[in-house]
Amino acid sequence: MARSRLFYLVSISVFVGMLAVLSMVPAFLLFLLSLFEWSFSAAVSSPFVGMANYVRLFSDERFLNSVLVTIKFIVIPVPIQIALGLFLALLLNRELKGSNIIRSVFLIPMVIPPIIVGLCFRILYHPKLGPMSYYLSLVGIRAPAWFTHTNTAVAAIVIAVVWEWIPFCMLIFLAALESFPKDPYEAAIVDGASWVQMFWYITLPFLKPVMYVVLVFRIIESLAIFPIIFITTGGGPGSATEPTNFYAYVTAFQYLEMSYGATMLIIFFAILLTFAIYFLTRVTKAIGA
Amino acid sequence: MRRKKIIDLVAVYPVISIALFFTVIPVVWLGLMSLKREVEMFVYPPRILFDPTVFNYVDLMGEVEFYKYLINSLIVSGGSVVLAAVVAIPAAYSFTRLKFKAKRGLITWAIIIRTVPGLIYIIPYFVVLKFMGLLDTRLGLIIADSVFTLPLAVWLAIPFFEQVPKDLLSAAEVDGASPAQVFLRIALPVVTPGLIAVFILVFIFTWNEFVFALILTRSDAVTAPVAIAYFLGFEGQGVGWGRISAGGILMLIPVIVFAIMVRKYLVKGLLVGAVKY
Repeated sequence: MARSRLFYLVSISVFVGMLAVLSMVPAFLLFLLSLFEWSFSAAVSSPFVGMANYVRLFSDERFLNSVLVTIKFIVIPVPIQIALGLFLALLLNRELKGSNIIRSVFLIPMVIPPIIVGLCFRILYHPKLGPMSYYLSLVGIRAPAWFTHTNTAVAAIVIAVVWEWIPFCMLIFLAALESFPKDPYEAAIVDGASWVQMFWYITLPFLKPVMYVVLVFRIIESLAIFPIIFITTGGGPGSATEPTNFYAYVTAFQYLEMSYGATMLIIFFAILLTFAIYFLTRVTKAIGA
Repeated sequence: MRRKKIIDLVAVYPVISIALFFTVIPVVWLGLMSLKREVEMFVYPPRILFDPTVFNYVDLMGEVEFYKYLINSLIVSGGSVVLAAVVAIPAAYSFTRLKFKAKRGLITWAIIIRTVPGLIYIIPYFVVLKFMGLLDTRLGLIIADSVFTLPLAVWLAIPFFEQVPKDLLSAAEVDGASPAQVFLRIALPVVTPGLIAVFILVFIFTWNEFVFALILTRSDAVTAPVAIAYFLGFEGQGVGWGRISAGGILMLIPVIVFAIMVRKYLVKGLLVGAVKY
């Protein structure tokens, strides 16, 4: 018996081992880096500085701003994505002609490379290349120079990520809606319930766990917002659209302050991990590992 | 029943049409851009009807040598699929055959690793790959990407193996086949269609991947998304908007085709960020 299990044990060990090396070792190295004043140019002398990098973080206004920006890019777009995704899922959850084609088209924003999402919107917002400024002018709106003011730059990115992620919310809600039992609705119709009542008292309670799952994943993934920022605003104007991971990237790979960048990512990591462990253990239980 | 039809006609279809319009317009506009000459691009108001040209595509491949980046992307994605096939698929099968206490914990751990944004790993990867001489190589990028693709593949493959009838497997074992033989000859053929979907999702993910490719490559191993980002670095003046748009279209065609092929499996995969993050 022991010999026959060897194949399973080896397969699992190789997978777990590789993943451990690829994740735990970097996490440890990242932490180590944050305690030193290390960069490639000063590879020879890298003094141990203890918590100095962490102390610096909390008086760094650009860092504090980046945390605020990160929160902005969660709090503003995620509810819009969920609301519109749910709305579309409810519309599509009926027998429609061409529903396969419709659903396939809705996949597009979600599956294309994020860098291409950025490219599309960079062109759309362009005063000459894109259609937006002309068609807005037809209805009497003067299109802003999107990327030059704080509020419009934030709005421009919010619009792009909302476009990108509505289909994700829609697909998951749709899968949930289709798995619902039909009986409660039939009973409700017999009792003369209105559409609104059915939605409020049957559909929404059913959807609650799914909504929880969608919310958790959208929050975690919104934390990783990067390619779109890189390609559209580059974090600007100033640092108005610079989330924490983007600031960490700039610090580590443009200013070449690897240690300080690592420190930011450690804080980011700590927050994320607490959040992820707490919620993902629930979610994997809910959808069955 | 008639009432439903009327509601569909006056409300549902129009609203869906509007949603579809806004869904496709950014991509369609990119397509139009890729077919426009430079002079036509800057005409105001923008033209929807124009004399299309394929010069952008020709120049992109010829002058700009975009095929190099596409080949890099293909190799990185293909290599990631092979690595997933060799490491993740046997592991997924073994997870379904073994019962042990830490199993759920291990799978959750793998998913958490997958869910962490790539930037967390990138500084150590950069440093270690540099010391190993693997910076700016496709192999280095494949190894880095596997921190995402391996958990993704295991997570996606487990349900397929769970559907294989247990009797089928135990019958073969009674006949004296070793676990490896049962896996290769009995289980694999049954789950092949599902595994193809898994591989397609791994392919899409690595094809779309940007953060690792941006930081871990310089020139030799630059992938297509990073190349497009570099082109855009100068407001499109170096390469030209038409050619950049053509590159964008070339990048998204395979993804859209693949995504439609695996649409059925997408929902489960989406929950662990199957296509991108």
